[in-house]
Amino acid sequence: MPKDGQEPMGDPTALLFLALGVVVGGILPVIGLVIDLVVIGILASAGIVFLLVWVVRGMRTRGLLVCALAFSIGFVLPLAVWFVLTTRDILQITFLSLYVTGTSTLVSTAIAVPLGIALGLHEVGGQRLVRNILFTLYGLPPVLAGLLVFLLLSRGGPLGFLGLLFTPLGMVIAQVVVVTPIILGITTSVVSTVERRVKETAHVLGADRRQLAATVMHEAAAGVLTAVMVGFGRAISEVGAVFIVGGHIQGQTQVLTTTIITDVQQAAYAHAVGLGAILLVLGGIVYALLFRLQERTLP
Amino acid sequence: MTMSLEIEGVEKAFGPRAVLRGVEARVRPGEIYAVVGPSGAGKTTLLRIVDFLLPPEAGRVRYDGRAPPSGPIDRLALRRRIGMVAQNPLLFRGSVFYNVSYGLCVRGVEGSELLVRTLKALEGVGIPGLVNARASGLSAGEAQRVAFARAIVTHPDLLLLDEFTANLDPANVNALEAAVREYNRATGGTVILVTHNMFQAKRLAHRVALLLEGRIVEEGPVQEFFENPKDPRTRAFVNGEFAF
Amino acid sequence: MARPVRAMHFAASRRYVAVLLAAVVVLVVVGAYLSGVGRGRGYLLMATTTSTRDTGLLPYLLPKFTGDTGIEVRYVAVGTGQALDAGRRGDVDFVMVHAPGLEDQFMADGQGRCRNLIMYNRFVIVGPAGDPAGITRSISGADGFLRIYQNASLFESRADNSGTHNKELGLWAAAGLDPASFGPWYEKTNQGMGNTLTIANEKAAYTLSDDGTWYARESTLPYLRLLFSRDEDVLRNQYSVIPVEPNLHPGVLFNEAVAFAQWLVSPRGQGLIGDFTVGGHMIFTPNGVQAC
Repeated sequence: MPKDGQEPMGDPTALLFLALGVVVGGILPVIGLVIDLVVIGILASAGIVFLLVWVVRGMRTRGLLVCALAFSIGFVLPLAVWFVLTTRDILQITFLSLYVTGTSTLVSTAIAVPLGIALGLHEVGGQRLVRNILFTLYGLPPVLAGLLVFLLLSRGGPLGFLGLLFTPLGMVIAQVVVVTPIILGITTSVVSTVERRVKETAHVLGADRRQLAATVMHEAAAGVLTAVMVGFGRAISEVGAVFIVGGHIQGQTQVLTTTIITDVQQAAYAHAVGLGAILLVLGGIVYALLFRLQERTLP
Repeated sequence: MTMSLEIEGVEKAFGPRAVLRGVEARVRPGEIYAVVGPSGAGKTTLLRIVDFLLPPEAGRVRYDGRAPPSGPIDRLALRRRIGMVAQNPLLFRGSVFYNVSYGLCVRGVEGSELLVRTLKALEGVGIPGLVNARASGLSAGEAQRVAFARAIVTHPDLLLLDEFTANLDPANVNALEAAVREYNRATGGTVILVTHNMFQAKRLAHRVALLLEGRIVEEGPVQEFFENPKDPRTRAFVNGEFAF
Repeated sequence: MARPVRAMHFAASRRYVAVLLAAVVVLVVVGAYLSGVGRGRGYLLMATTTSTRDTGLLPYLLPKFTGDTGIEVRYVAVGTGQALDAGRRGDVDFVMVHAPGLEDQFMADGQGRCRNLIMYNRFVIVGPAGDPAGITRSISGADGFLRIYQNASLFESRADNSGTHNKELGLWAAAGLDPASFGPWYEKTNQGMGNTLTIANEKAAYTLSDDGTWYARESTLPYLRLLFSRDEDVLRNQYSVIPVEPNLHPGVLFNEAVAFAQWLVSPRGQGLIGDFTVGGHMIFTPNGVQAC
């Protein structure tokens, strides 16, 4: 049984488990175990490690989790490397996913945050109307947004002359339509709930309207970053809208999420799981960075 | 620099409750003018009207003998000559430096001048070592000193203090009172000190006024106010006979 | 005394805003470049069906065309209805589908300039390994469907107005049956061939498939077998390519689309089609008829 007061896990032990995972994960394909079991394998091995070490060494829980995690990562590494090396277009698909997600998140941020600050600051008369519109947009299914953008950008449609259907920029536009209301709504909410005293204090200290807005934004920075993170989460997981508007054209508009869909259509499940893992890792890295950034903005 | 203030017939009501019923007061440039009175008498409301945070129902305030300007730019310029420290001040997220230098930043001061003046203000309240500290981690006394430094770093012509040492321990009270005295001496700025602590009024003020039931019932030089008040209510108040 | 930290004042937030806007502009410009804005598409775009994609023919054939002519071809693989609609909208330069009835309508509406038949494969009936309806003994496709009906065996219909779906409806009609009257054993997936096969596999149900998709997917469908396959005219799955009418959509790459249509029915194209195999099976029978 774990004993309190025992020394927490140090880095060397975690590295040991990482290496152990790499060894086990590297042997499995060699002895011909089917890759489809990868998901079960990760969970099972992490669980087994957890129990083993808990019984044998009696470590504190936090150290156990780190070890289990290290083992899982090590387990997956050889498979991931093999997967990336043997799959065509994986880098291009990943790059495009990153591009579409990143660009749409940034564009949506650039539109939604200033608008959200303005809406949150000024107690406009039509605020109820704005809020109703906003909540309607929240409920807008992304796939419907994709359909609307498709009809707009199609050559038969009003913006057809731009030739943006089935292109990366078209996908960005579709995602911007989906993500902007989300960032806008959270920013407005966060900014309007900034203490009235903040605005008053800034006012008393001599801030003009622009400086007051900047100060409110400074106070709400942590909340605004949350809005951006939620928007990013929406963007990276979007599949319906980008499928409709992008068309999943090889070498042009294939992203991780749409490729998972077509993989399932073609029963290439292992490939799909691999892509999903890449998605998780990408998202995880971005979130880790954003959390770091957010820490600096907390009061 | 400094400012004179004339409060003429100011009335303010919140709904059915009339708080100020015709306040008359004259604050001379460069003096420390204390406003005392029981809680709920409207002292804070009066200060907020002076600082344009509330509009009066009737009456007006004149700054240096002139009515407040109507244009937003001139209004802003006037407001920037006034500083205020409230009882539980709100400090912005970030460092003490950010908070104290805020007023200067807003007025376009930057670079080494910003740095020097901010540090000087912190020295003035005795906490130069806290310059990089997080504002959210300060004790009440430290926070109040930061708020004070933040208010005076811009050298306001008029400084409004609203019960600014209430709930503080004697050490902090002393430090802040010394800072007020020094500020008034060094810059000649006018100070309006709202307090229910008569001893503080006695220690700091040049002139004192009693705000009672929405009116200034008596104002006068500090010594006279306490030793020889003209109004019987003042006498009762000074003797602690009012429940407040 | 320690040097104070640079406070985040208005200059700093202005800097963040400037960086954000600059990043946005750069990214959008990059996107515009990648999307060929102003330059026009650098490649021929085709709308085709998921079945065509699932057979694996396109990754085999298209690079050879590019090698021969230098023209790059890409495709969107969607349902038959959407593929033809993409042609009607002028979002693609030509379509490759296998739905003769709908193609006739497309041509009659003047949406396509000309139509080249290129190849055919076969419709087959697949079903559970045990073959409860006994269709391996059928004398024809319609007879097989009759047996399924009589046995009330689970059947997955694509119900997506595709060529395969229309063929399925035709077979029910030939057997004298009306699907509207069928019981719950008749299920509609409203999806492409790949998904429908997956569902049939999970439920051990019968379905009509084209043999190209079947052979491409066979290894992933352990509970299904190919139960009926015969070279009847009515079970032919005819593929055609139709360049979109340029008078309706001036922006389409008409000449390149015609070049591809001609290449497909040329000896070179037809030979490659005939050589294409999946799992050792020759799927497509070239039967090119040139009209473009």
